[in-house]
Amino acid sequence: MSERETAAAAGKNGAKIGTEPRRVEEANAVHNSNSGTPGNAEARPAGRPEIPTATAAAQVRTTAAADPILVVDRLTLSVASGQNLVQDVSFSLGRGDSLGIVGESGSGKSLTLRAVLGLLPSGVKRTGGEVRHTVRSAMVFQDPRGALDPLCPVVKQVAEVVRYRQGKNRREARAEALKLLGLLGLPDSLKREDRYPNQLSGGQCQRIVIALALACRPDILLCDEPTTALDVTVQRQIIDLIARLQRELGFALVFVTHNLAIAAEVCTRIAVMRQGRLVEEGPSVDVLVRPRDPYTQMLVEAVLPLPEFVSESEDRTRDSGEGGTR
Amino acid sequence: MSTDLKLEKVTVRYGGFTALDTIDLDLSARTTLGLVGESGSGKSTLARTVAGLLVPDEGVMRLGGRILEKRRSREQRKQIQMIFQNPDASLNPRRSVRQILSEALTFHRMTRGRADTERRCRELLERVQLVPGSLDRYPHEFSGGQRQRIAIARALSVEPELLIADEPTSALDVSVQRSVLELFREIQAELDLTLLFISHDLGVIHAVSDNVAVMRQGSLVEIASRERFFSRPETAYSRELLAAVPKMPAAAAGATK
Repeated sequence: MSERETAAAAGKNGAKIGTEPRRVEEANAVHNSNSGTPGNAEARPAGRPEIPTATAAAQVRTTAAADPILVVDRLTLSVASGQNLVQDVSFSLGRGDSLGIVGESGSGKSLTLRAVLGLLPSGVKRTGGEVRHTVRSAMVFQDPRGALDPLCPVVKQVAEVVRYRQGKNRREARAEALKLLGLLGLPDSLKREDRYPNQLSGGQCQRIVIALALACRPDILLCDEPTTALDVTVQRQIIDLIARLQRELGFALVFVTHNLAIAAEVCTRIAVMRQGRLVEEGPSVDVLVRPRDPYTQMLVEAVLPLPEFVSESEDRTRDSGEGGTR
Repeated sequence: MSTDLKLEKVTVRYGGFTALDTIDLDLSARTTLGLVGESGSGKSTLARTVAGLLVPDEGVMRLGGRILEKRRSREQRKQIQMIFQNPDASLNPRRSVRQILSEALTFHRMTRGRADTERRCRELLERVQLVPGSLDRYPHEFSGGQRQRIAIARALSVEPELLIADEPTSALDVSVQRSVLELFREIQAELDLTLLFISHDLGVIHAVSDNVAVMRQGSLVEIASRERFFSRPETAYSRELLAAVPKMPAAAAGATK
């Protein structure tokens, strides 16, 4: 069934530009494995298009969930010129799992995430592979102010989503929205007086955006660098918030970030992307402590170290003890 | 000549809002002060005030003993140079790298004649590890890290004594960030620069600074040497900042191996 769908998709492309680009792509793949880009090349046999999906599924890493709610299978995204922005990316996600996708800018992290949601920017097309999921997903965007309507008060924005996605009437929707905002630690004053996004701080705006996503009652929450625009202390709050919500509500999480430390804190598994390909995937600690791929090693080494105290400072009791002796 | 920077009770207000509240700061020559703080704490306002882009409402600033007035002499402007966060916005997209670099050189009469300017431009590019062929290209043809290098080259072109870097690596990838930070360390050692380095990233601050100053809501809450700040921060706010940094799970050990 899904096999036929892919074939159909390929056919649709083929009608337009012929089968030539596919060949080229294949040739590229072979060329790459010859030139020895390690980590990703070995997972892909040369005669790719003919292989049935069952075999492909077997190639998904061993860490794949037993009963996945989201399967990204050899996803390839390209622009009209034939350049592949994302190539052969596969991963799967079980209920309640958390996966961090890390990589530098231009590595295709965000595009992969958008493909899951079906929100590809214009000009980018899926040219291979597929995304299978049966559940609802919602996304938290990087720039909270950009994701909110500046001309609409925030409670109204959240209520609107609740109304349409949960099929409630206005009053119920508003009550539900306020409940959500309470859950996210937003000030109670919003109950009395609605405010516009520009009257809230960046951290508060991001909480509203998370509320918007949660209003869809997602089974998968997709986060696209949700803390990059925020200060460290606010970032800490948002990370803790997302982790807490995941525990309480039990949604699965895909967390895109360029910060390895954040990915490690939030996610149990980490996937590393480079130039549109998945170079390494595995449990967070394994990937960061014993990176197999040289690129991952480089990323881990590029993290600027902070001296010992920092890890100790996590221990509040010791902190206050020090404060007392001074 | 000593080029210590000294700020005495500097206050800047935007309308009714006090962006800098009686700041006293000493920055001795040839050291790097890392300025940390959250957004809105006044870091950039401080940088802009020192650079002369903003005029303080109160207080006195001195560089090498001479007062920095509202109207600065050409010499004083030359002494202080600034690198901005976003190289896209600070490099004129319609000018080639040659034009960008030579403008400051000719304005401050650093070179004699076109050939000399050309030679100096090439030298500068080499200093920031760009190929000399880059001179005829435009900013958009470079990557973010390369653009920031061009901005650094421009700042260095007039041989400043105090260099202000306002979040110079925030817009860059980690690997690029690392190489740009290395460049900063090299040029500082080589050119005897005094560096005021602003960042919200404590890792970056740890990598470049001799001393660390923490700002919060327009005031300086703590100034300490790097070792002291990172091992025994004095104020609760500094501890809060340090504790908020996301940590690698035992990977620090792996990375140092």
